[in-house]
Amino acid sequence: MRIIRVFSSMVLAVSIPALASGYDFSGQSRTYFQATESIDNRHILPLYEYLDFKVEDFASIASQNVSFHFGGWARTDLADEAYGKKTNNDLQYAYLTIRKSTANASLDLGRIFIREGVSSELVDGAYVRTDLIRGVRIAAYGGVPVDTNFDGRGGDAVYGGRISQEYPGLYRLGFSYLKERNDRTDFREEEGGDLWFRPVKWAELLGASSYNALTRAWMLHNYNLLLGPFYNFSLRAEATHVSYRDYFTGTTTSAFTFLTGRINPDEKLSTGGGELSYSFGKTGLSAEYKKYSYDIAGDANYYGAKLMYSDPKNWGTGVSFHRMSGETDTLKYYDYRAYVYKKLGKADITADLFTVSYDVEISGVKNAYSASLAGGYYVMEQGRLAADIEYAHNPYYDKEVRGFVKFVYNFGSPYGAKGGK
Amino acid sequence: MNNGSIKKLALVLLVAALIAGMYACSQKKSLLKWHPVEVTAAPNCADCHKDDRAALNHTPDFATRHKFYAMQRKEVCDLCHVESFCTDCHAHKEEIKPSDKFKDSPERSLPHRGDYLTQHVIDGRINPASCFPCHGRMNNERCKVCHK
Repeated sequence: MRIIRVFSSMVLAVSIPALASGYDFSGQSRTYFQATESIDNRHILPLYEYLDFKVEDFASIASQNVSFHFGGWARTDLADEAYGKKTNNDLQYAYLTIRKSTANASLDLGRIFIREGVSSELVDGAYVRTDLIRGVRIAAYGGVPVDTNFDGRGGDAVYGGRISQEYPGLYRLGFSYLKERNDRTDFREEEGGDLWFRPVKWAELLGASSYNALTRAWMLHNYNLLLGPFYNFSLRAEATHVSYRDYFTGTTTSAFTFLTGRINPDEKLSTGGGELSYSFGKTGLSAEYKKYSYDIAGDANYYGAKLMYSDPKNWGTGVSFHRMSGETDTLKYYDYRAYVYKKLGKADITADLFTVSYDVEISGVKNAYSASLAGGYYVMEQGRLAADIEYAHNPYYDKEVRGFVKFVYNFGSPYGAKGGK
Repeated sequence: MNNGSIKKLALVLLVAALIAGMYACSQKKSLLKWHPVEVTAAPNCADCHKDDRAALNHTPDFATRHKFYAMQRKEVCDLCHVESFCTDCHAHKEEIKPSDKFKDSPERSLPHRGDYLTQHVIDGRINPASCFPCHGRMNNERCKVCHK
């Protein structure tokens, strides 16, 4: 509960001066209560509090400002220990932003989630970016990486940046770099390029490539081509290529190391496929196909179709089916899904069914399924209470029943003053 | 200071001066702090924008390619989304599946729906690279319960 006290103190410490000085304070509290059973039949009743807020100057929609952003959660278990711990918590982000009114210039200080080209890193440090002339933009960051349950943080460092150039509306080209050191030795060094190209309004190419500078080989290529819409039809084609030896470096879990034999370093995977969509009014229909080609393992194909209807303020529904067809037994199955939701004034109700039918039984189970029923109600303008129950049957659980209750409360100005999340 | 160090320092100072000059010349207004018109979930940007902003339409497949927009200009995402929207899925440490947090939003593309304990073995065989960005270095405490 210490983390909750810390959260509360921080909220008070930030909010009181903020409100007094004309700054705007807004955020969201989410309280979750889950009732479930672990795979070794222990009852787990975790109670979570997720809190996020920001304090900022709302004097003008376009003016420069200083803002503070915070997000974190804490959990205690009311029965047995969930995931081996009676309590747990995480500081997801906490940073101060200083933003200029020109050139999109910003400086962040604190715990920041950085997305810049090859970098998708949580860092305790500093992050600065700005536009320059002729469509050039630069970004740089540095600090200490925030990895999970890895060794100590002494001697750890991460830094990198990205430079890009764009012609607005036509193209954007970016080059990025990342270096991470663990215990004063090189842990990761990655370089990459990213692309966005839209020569005509009905065609868009976007993607990225990453290069491992330690193994001196390409790790990943991932590109999408979007075409349309033409008479309500649109097409998305996708191609990726992954070199396992170069991609799965710098991991902190045995699930991805080569030593266990689960990941073959000599494997190379290429995927190719696409999705053809047709929309008419609030209804969408799509067919998709993806081929997985391996240098070593047997190939696989995944294909299927989806039909959706969505009227967000009233009701919506969707059905889908897919077939996975691979060379091994576990890669031969059908999956099906159907859902429906309905809004009824302040209330809403949702039903969702997901099933998988294996060609060959897994642990004696041929058909796995999970069905859930959820309902919510706005008990006040800023607060919504919701609950759901899920029943499942699968290779790990003959019969699993799980319950979930949540209360979401928005405080301060309309959340984010952006019309929501 | 030897010759090599002097050359490196001169290069750094030159690049810094170039950046400072380019910044000084760039007086383009920053993006607004938030989208001036309230938008509802899954917006069709093309309803109002006829230029390249129409590319940000949140079509049903947008979840598969949103990473490219975020890695290039995340400040555009920030016009409508607060940071916690990203951390709902992209977590440093998380115990609740995103699809469990939002069972009442079945139309959203959220990872790990249904029985993911069985499915993760299949997905891990099919394309472990799809697991790695989220669980390779972070958010893998649950992985470590079995993958010791």
